[in-house]
Amino acid sequence: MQPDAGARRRRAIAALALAALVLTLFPPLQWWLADGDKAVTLAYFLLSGLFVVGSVVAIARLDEADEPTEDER
Amino acid sequence: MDMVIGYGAVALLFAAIVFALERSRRGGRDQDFSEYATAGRSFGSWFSTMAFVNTWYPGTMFVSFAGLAAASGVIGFYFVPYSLLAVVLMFFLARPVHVWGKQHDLRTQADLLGLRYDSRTVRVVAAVIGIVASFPWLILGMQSLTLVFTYLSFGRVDASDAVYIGIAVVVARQIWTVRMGARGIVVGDMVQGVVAYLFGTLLIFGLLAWLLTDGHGFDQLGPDVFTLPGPGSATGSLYYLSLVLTGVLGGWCWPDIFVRLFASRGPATIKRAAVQAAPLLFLFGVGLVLLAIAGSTVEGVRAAPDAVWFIVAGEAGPLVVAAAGVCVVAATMGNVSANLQALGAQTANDVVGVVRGRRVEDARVGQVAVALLCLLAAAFAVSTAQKVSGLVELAMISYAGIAQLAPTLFLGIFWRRGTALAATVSMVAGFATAAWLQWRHPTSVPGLEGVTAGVVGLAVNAAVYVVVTLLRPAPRAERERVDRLFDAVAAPSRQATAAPRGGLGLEPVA
Repeated sequence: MQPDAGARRRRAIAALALAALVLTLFPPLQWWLADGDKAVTLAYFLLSGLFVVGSVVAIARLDEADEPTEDER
Repeated sequence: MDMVIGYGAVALLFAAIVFALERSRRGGRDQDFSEYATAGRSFGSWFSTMAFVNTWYPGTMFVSFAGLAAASGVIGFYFVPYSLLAVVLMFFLARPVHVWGKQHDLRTQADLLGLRYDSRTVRVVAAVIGIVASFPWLILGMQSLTLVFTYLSFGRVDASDAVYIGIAVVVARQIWTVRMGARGIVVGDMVQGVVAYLFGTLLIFGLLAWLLTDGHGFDQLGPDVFTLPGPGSATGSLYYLSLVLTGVLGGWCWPDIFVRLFASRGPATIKRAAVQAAPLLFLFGVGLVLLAIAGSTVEGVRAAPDAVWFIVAGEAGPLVVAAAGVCVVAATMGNVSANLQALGAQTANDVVGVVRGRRVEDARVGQVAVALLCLLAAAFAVSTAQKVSGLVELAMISYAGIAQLAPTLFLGIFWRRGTALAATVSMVAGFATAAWLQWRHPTSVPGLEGVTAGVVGLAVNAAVYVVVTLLRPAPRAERERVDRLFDAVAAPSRQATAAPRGGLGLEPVA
């Protein structure tokens, strides 16, 4: 285990959360992608949602090293 | 016969819920107020998942949220990103909320804020805002059952009569909420959640597949259906952002949502519940919006978009209508019960308890509060029963109000410096701003590109919080008390050499 592994995990978690925020909340991206084209608009909503779901899973994996699981027993 | 199928299906669901609740009461113990409000902080991840999902998505998802998508197109997706971002926030909240809750026997959201700021005023103001903003959702829940029992009667019962049936069903369900408190909510949510959000999602995708193969695809719809309001639009280019932002920040401010964090066994359980809830929220939400948009071409939907769920199901026959109705009833029961229980507990713990000047230990105070709130909501539901199409507007107004807890809640949990004075002044300023603007401009504030009253209130609220905190910092003794609170959140790492304080990168900012 590298001594800065915890810091790298925290940065990765913050980056995932930030990416999820930008993808779902950044208005210019939405004006560009949800502009009347059926396929592009639906793809935006489906893929951005999938990205956030994947981010939650990834954050959970990154967090496993720091969060004890005793309460699950 | 069709009505027997429809109402019989609801009766079967009700019986299954009561059976599960009564089984869970075996070997039960007399409960004190903490047990009544938090279920003893004892539930595992799957119960926590279904409790969260059942509380997060109300029954009116099938009615007014689907109706918005059927009438206005892809803007109806807005609840999907805010729900998923709320799950991300769930990770960040899990450890501090659960650790403080367990160490200090916290029972409600307002209780937590009272502890964080060491202030009765903050606690009472937060409790009152939570109760006032949540109350419209009780009415929404009861009214969404009005539509259910109208459709399940297949033309034999009109809305003015169905409202009484809906209220009777909700009130009957509350017998177990009153008796069992949070434990009854979580156990009931497992049954209701499986029906509404597992079976419901399967039904959604089944109906969507049928629509897409039966001439009701997206090709029949114009580009306006697939367009979000942009620059130069009548709605305003920031309207969609405002809806999502208010949803994600306001979401965790609901007392019933927040208190679910107290019912889980621990932080790891809450985080595992978040992982399990995310795909379920996504599949259900996306499927429902796609179904509503595709179903907007079915005859009758344009005239009554709120009924799209039942109109599409009706194309497949009475059994499918019955199944559709059962999903709405299950979702509504979960949401209304959780809301009532949380508001009752909050009224007892943070209003009655504070007024009396002593901590509430008797569960009966909460039971009485739940019963009174239920009767009051029923009276409002009856008096507004003929205004189903206004449900989303009512929901948005209450979101504008509840979101005003967000700066006090999130900055209080993640920033050590926030003070009681800042919290009190900012909540009052934000709520007053949002309420006044919402009354004057129900859709969005003119000249602000679609920004809603709730977001303007939030901006004022957050600015006041930070400015007051910086101008009037907490005295040394209070800073040391808050430091001890935050230090208690530090996670004991499984990998000591790389252990960051606070786990998850959530070490509170000094």
